[in-house]
Amino acid sequence: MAESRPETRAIRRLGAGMALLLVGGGLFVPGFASTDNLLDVVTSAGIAGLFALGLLMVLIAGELDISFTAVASIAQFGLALLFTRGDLGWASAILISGGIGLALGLVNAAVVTWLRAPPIITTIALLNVYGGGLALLSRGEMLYDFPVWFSDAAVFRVFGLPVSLQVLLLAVATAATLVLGRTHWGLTLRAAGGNREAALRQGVGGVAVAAFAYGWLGFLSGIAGLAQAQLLQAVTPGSLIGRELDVVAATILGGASLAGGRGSVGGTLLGVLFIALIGNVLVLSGLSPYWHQAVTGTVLIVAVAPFLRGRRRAAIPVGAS
Amino acid sequence: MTDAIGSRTDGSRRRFALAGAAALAVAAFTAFGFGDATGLLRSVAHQVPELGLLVLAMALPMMAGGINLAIVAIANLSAVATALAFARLGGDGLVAPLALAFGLAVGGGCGALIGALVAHARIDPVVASLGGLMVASGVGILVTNGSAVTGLPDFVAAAADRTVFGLPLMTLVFLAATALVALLVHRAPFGRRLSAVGHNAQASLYSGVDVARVHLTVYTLSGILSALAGLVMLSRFNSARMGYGDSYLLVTLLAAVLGGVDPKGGRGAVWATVAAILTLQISASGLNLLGASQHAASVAWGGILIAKLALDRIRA
Amino acid sequence: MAAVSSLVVEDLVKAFQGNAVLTGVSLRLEGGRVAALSGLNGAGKSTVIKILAGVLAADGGRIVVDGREAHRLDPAAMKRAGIEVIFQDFALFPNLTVAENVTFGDAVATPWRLVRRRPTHARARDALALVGADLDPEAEVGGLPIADRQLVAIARALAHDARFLVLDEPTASLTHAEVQRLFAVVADLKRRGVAILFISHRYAEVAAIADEVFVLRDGAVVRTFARDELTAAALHEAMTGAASPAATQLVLPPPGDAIALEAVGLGRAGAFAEVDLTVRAGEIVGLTGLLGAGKTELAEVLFGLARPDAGEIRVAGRARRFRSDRDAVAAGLALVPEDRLAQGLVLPASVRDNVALASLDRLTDRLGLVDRRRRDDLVRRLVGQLQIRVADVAAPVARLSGGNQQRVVLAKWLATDPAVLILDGPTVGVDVAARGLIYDLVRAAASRGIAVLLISNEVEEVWSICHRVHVMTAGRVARAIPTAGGAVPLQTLEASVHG
Repeated sequence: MAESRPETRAIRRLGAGMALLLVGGGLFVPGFASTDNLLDVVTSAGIAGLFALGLLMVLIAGELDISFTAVASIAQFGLALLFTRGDLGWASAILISGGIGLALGLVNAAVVTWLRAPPIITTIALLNVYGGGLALLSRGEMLYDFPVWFSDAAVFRVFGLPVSLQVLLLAVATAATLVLGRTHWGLTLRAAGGNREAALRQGVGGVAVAAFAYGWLGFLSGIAGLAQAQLLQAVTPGSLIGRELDVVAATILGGASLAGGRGSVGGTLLGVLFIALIGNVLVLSGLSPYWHQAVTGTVLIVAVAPFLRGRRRAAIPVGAS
Repeated sequence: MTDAIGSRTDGSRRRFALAGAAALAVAAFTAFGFGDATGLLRSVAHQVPELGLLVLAMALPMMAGGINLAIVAIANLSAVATALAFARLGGDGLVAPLALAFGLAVGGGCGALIGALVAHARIDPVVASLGGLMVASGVGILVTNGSAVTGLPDFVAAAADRTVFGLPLMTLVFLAATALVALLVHRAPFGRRLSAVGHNAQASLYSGVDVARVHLTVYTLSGILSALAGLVMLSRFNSARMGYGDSYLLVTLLAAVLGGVDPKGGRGAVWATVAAILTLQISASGLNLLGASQHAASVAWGGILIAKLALDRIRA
Repeated sequence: MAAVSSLVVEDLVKAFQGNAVLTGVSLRLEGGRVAALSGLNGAGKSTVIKILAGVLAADGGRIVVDGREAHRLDPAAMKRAGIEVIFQDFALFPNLTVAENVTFGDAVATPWRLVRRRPTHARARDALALVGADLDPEAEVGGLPIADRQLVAIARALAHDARFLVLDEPTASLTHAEVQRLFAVVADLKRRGVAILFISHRYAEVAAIADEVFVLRDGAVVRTFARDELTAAALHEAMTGAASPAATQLVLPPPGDAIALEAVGLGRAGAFAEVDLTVRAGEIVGLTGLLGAGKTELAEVLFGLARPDAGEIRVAGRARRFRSDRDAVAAGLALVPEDRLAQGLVLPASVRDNVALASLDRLTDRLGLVDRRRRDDLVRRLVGQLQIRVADVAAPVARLSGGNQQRVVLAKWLATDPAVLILDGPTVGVDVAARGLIYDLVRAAASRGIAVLLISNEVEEVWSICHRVHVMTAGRVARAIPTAGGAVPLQTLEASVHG
């Protein structure tokens, strides 16, 4: 291949950045290079990672959704509410939170495709409707006091085996890789994101693609809501809301493009981990934690600017239809 | 049919009249319904200038087919910059205009940064302004340690209550800014170029329009208008903090869209967006008097925005 | 395949917002035969193709595949019926690999099966072998040259078991050698029993490849030729409905002496090299050649939209270095671009705003605001002068017909009082009557002393309206051939383009 794919370039760049951080952190930052600390970093990136892997599908399909934190909040609130009514097993907990997320994701798909307005505007509206609605219904109350089995040191159990957040993230990443690379759905998604008109002429795309992408994000948002509820052992409406733009930034940093058709699971994970690592290094090295956002924003801008310049060269000329 | 920027003929006049009538109706209903007309008016007059300036800051990039997610962060950062300048230099004599200019320059600089990313690096406005948002709010939080900057000279807070010719100073500032933007958008060559770029950037380029410059100008102006809003907020709160106005993004988007700004770019009417924010703000104050919460407003604004987009979709 | 496959199209009718585009199209394709569909731009070819692809629904008529009428006519159903269309833009996915593009239909057909790499590559290689292409299955399609992309598109169609293959102007952007390769592929597919519909309006191609020719004019098939009935003159007459008007050359005003635009040794890597060209005031100079010869790239460099790597542009004798098209406009140049809808016009904006767009800076008052009265006067004058038929100049330009739209683009540039007017494909998608009007406007501009560089893929067009014609071949511009006053017959000029 004459030219490397933009996804590969993004991964390479992020890998280099990570290596620099790891080496620099290991050498100069006390307490950084311990297994516990690095596992903590992964945990702290876990929720954002779940969101990002969900958002990745939406971006690849050439769409955008920023209402997912509110979707996750609703899903975890619904779950917590049911906990207060009666005991549920892990299976029902997963089904309920994932189901709520999936349903709202499908609503988003329907609204965005039908309105045909820029998805950023539509989903800002949806974010507020969901978030505001939840705050109204819950009256801002915190829910806690969950069943004992939910307090284990694991996000959840499958067939009795504990699944930690790290393992969950890895499993979702594997699933996303499989879906994108090995299934008809992934192929269609990437195709529609790369050339929407051509996909329609091949008889695929349209509402089905949007439903799959937004539904996937919705489902993962529900799971992320569950995972966060388990981590904190409490559900506060709005505790997740406000983090959506950071997730968008991490996903873009990982090589996904708002133009659609681009993005990789590996890059997305690296993007999320990279941002978490920056935060970790800043905290451990005694610098103000307030550095984090400024640094992340700068990294995003620096990463994206040459990235798109490179991409323009490789872009196929748009033919007249 | 909505009217193109620049030729403000029947379409936008009708829209403006409609929005104005709606604002009056809502105001009258709320005032007479709850018997607290002065309270209502005061609360509206307080918030409209900053919100209105932010609406303009949002509407301009939208007319060019983009968006600026960073307006609130820029407003706060500019207020922080001015507040810190006051803290460092005191508030005597020539310092005051210098501090204000510094705040405006910070806002304009942030806008120009986003504009350069959009215009020259060809980055999607969502990503560019997201980067701008993170940097602006990150720097703001960094320099303030996340807390409010206070201890401002007395005239800062006093300015919020100043009236000139019987009108609140801040309202006048807002009206003057609106008039300038309206002139620029509807009457100056820039407005035609803005509209052309918003509709079809490529055809504009082939017509000798400096597309990059239009983008750069639009986002710089957006930054300056945001900064102006930040200064108004600085006066109203008598402090600066990177978290004020967190809920403003949605309402500015909504007002712009209700005022006829096409989210896909190319169309928009300045005075109609002002009428829209007025209506929304009166409704919000009304809701407030009714005892509804901030969250109720979120749901209402989000719902109305979707409804408006749906209406446009049906009519298209 | 036991029986010979057949696709019969009967009386296809289609209208857009009351404008009849197809009034009765009947075609017949048979396995192992190549049919050509010929017609001028605007005759309705692309509508026929879109209906065959299932992208557009016809208002009336039937499509019968192997004796069975097709009822559901969406893209998926058309593919199931074995109809595959290779669009001019190929409708490929630039971000997917060659293998993923070629086997795209497999994944769609079996949604629940996992995509496996090795069988996918094998499938892709087989399909690519049918078109004689040896491409890396892992290469991204966006990075391939045009001719390879076309082969990927054809291979994708064959991997879908295409029995009816529609090729939309497939030679438009190919070099001579690539065209020969394509023809070999078509001949091979024909041997394999595939029915082919070859869309082209070029006699040489049609004569070389087609067993029969359907001629489309004004939305209906007006004539069918068997291979041995076809002559260049007959095809031309059937397409245009006029008995060889090609013989007519327009009367041109005499050119002036002053050189208005000059290119000396102009070059841009990957597009063209060593271009020498002069246009005098009042002169109409033609530039023609195959698609992809570099004509549009040359126009964009002359107009400052791209920068040259070598050589010099001189305007009125002064060497100029344009940093952007604004510099070119300031120097008195104007360009009517090839792609009117994407580059020429701001479609949703009004006629008035479009006409004034390039000359806003001359229409300001003392305050720097747009002087509406002067603008409206200018717009009114030009709308009248160019006979743009529009009830209200505030109406969006999107509502106008192709010919009126093109005149709006012309008006926009005449408003800038240009010394040099570069026209790139000014009559593409414009009907015959409106063409005449545009030719009149070009001649009127020349008679006012404007230097005109007219770029066109239609040799006949430049032959009939230009004083001199340059032929461009693969980035090289040959010395101008004088054409005015019957100096050179059309055939000679055509030979130098296609030879």
